[in-house]
Amino acid sequence: MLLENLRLHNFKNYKSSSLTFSPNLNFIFGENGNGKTNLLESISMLCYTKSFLQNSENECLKYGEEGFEISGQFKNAADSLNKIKLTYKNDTNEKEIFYDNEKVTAKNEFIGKFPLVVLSPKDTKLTTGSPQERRRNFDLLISQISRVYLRDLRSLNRVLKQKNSLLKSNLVNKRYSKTELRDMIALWNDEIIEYGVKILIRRLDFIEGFRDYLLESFNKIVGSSYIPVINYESDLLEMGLSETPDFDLIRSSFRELLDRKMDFEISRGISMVGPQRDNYVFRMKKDGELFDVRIFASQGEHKTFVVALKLSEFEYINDNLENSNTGKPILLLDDVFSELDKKRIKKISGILTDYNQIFLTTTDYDYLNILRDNFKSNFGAYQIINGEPQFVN
Amino acid sequence: MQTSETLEKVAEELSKLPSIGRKTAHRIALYLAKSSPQDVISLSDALLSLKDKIKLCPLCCNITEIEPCAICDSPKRNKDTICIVEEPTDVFAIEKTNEFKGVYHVLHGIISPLDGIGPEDIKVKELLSRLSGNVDEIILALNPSVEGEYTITYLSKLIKPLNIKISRIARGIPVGTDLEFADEITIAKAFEGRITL
Repeated sequence: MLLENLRLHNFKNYKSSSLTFSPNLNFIFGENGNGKTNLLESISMLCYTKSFLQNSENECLKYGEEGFEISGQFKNAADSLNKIKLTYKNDTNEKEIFYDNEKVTAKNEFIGKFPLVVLSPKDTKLTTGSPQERRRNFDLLISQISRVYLRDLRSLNRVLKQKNSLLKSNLVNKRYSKTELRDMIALWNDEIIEYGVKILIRRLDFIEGFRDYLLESFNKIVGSSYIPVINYESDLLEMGLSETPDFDLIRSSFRELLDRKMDFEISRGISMVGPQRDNYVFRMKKDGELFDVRIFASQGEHKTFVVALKLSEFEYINDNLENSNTGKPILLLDDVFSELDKKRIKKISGILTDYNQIFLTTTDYDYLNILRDNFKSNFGAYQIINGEPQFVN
Repeated sequence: MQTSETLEKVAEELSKLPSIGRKTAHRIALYLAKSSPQDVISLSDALLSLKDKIKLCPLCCNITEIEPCAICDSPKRNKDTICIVEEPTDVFAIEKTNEFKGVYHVLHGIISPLDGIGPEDIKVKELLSRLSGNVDEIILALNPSVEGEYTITYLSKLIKPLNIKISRIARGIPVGTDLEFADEITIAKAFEGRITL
């Protein structure tokens, strides 16, 4: 997938801009606060329907304006062109997406049509932050290759909302007796099991396949001195289950756990069991010793892990797309070189030519010289000054 | 902008209606203000008679002007089979097919704690009182949402002990659609609901 051009209107600090992109490297530079990341954010909104920074649409509106518009033309692997337009209006707080001028009614049908991998400074949270950060990251990744997964995930979240609402409101209004409540919760639990088992098995299946990709991209960036390890942690798996997915076994231990924790959930007024509480754990093996990345890794190791993780996501999506005409994902690299030493920057620059279209932002124009060694003349450079992009020769 | 209080009031009331926004409400209000008195009076009479004449059928809880409703009263309908739906609009949708010969039961909603709707807020009691009679089969025709699934399981748990045959309508590939053009989710559901031959 390639993004051929982009038009922004009243998006963040962009008044009205049009850009045409290189199919290889797009080098975007400028000083802090001029709108480099905003440009990447607008691309993520076209591909994901949402900002990768989790900003609401309202937060993306240029100050004092009534609405914004982003539109772009994509070209897939079969050379067919698709125009995507996203509009937002402030007064109705309404976001609309148009696919070749036709309004998209089911937005989740859209995810994965324009695959995207983003690496930004906030991704340090993937190795340092809470389990929620990692779940969100991998949920988005799996959703891009499986809309069935996305559907199950949305259903599970809806069921959890309903169950939590029942638990919470009954704490206050005591509408139902304990027995009545238990019966009603048990029925919501049936649905949690229904979707939860599918989600769990899909995640385990994902990790199983993803491990090799992570190992390979580690090898590319740091050589074989580090071996990355990724594991899935879940109360369900701790009940003596192996990570080999067995529907019936997981289903029965899921039910057992939900039954056991039901009184606790009722007294706390919130759900305590399910894949919404699971965790992905990153470890690294160095000199034969295995250590937890979150706790023991150095700044540089954190950064390296995240870069390798994101690059392996690219390869994984590429090999597992539902539709082969889609073509390789687009790669957004936001300020990726900061905090890395020269050696590693050179190494990463060297392998970037293996990827598809790249959008790379930096404050430092000098990096272009390193990249130029690898990309030759296959790049476009843009300087952003106060929301005004300028093509630089 | 100078505007009339009466016009504003009418627009405000109109904008409470489904799929009518503020702009449309104003346009309708203005249109009514310019219409002839007879037109407006006949509209308001029609609206008032809605509340006067329309009631819920004591059996199936569908909206009706006569008691019981035309479907429940018809000798041609099979009273042994009850199709459970969410809203009166679902009855219209099924009736259009001319395929279903049984009777209905309209729940007027669906169980959803988020909206503060529990089983006692929809027409479940009314359903149970009907089941003491001669009912052979229940067909659950609810929407396949998370709340629809919940209501289906809730009702089937209630009905199971009564020894009544109970089923739900199928989900899957729409008629006239080629398999290759159906979306993944529909195909996945169709596989889950496959039928033994």
